Amino acid sequence: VSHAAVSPRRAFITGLGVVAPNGLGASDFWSAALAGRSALGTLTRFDPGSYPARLAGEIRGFEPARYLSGRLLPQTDHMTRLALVASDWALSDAGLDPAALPDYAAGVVTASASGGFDFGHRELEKLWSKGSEFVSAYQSFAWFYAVNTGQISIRHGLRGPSGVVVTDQAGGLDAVAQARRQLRKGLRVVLTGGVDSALCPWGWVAQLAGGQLSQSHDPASGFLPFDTRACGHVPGEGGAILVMTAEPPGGRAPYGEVVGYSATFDPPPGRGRPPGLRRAIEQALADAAVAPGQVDVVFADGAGSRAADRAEAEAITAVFGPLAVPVTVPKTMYGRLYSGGAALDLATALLALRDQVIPPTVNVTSPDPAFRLDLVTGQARPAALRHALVLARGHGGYNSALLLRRSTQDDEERLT
Amino acid sequence: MTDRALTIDALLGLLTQAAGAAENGGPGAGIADTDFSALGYDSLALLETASLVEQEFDVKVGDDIASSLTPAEFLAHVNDILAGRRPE
Repeated sequence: VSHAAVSPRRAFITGLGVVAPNGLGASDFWSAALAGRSALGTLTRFDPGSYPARLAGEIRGFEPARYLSGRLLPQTDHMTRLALVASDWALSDAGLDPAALPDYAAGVVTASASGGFDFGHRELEKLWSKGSEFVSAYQSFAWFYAVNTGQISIRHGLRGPSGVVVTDQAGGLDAVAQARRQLRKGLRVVLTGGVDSALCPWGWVAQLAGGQLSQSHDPASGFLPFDTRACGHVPGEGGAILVMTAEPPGGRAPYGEVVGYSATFDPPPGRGRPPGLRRAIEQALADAAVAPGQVDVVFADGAGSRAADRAEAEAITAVFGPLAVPVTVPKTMYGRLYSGGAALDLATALLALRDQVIPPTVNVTSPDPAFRLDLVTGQARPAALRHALVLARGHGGYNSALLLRRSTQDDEERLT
Repeated sequence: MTDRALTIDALLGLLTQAAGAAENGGPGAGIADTDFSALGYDSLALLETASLVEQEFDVKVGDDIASSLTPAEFLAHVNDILAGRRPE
């Protein structure tokens, strides 16, 4: 029995908190994204000279002590500090004071991919070099998948149903979908999205084991999704926290509304069945009762490997037709952010809907013509945008598609 | 046994090192009897501090020290061990 069928409750996004390599805060990030400003470069967090992969999208100039109390610093991984700051900014952007909400009316659902690697790296180093008595008691939770959700919940007193979704790079969409389920069940507000970082030596080795990292040393050609020269992806750090509400905010339009979603899983290799991304797109559109021709832009997953790019292009053209919808990959500017990636794509798509402009895919100068995609390359493209589709895939077969609809002032007035 | 003892100032220093500065009640006379919860320190903060005490004084203070309610209780627990009044 679908609760949605009987519930008029909706899922508006009313606040954005962005922490990205090419911009701290939604405003700086959006300026950089529209200008096509890339933050990819050689890793500085540690010396990557002895590793096969060296490029990353690092957040520079983030000073956690400016934003977080001394009590929080010893117990938080870098990714959690970023997530906490993003949650502050998202609530502030939404004009929402959590203390004014009834107890248990607001929850937190974030995505995670691998937990707090940097914190864990340092504690493991203490374990083998000094002994177990030197390992921080905070390691018990600082590494954990659910730690961003927990710390955000504690910081803002959000004690409603909460959780974490672990589906690699698809997680940013899956968390938002879980947040929508909680709104439909009666929550008033959910903080959702994802923020990730694994740019320490341990995290780097773990990522290398996945076999998909670009081994290029050139930031301008290291991550080229849909390009004939595609050579893997560059990892980044950061993401976005979004404020979702069941009711539109009073007095102004929300950024937009989540109107469709679906997740599918790829069949095991060698079974001869098609991959699941096309089905995820079709089901997300069906969930929203929106036809392919009504979708105005696609934010692609953009894996950056030839086979995965081809599979995504085939899914997009199968649903929309060849060259029928603008496609963009802003993550070419900052890398793949794992659980933060799709969350940041959602924030980017909402800003695109607001300003009626599609941010560019940078560095891709030889898009494969066989893919038949209308890739927005070079510079931002103004466009009339009402529906934006965000795609995300996670290692191991996760596919997710989420459809956003722009909320106009007219909609808001009709609703309130 | 030993003439070493943990002082309130040393304990506050270790608390700060382990878990960050207290949230309320700066270094005043009353802090020794202020509840850890009011200072913003939870049981994990006390465990973390206890492990620093163990390293500094080369003793075992045990996990039950995390149930101390105030800095004064924590100090008494540690100093009883250092003075041989309580088993490690």
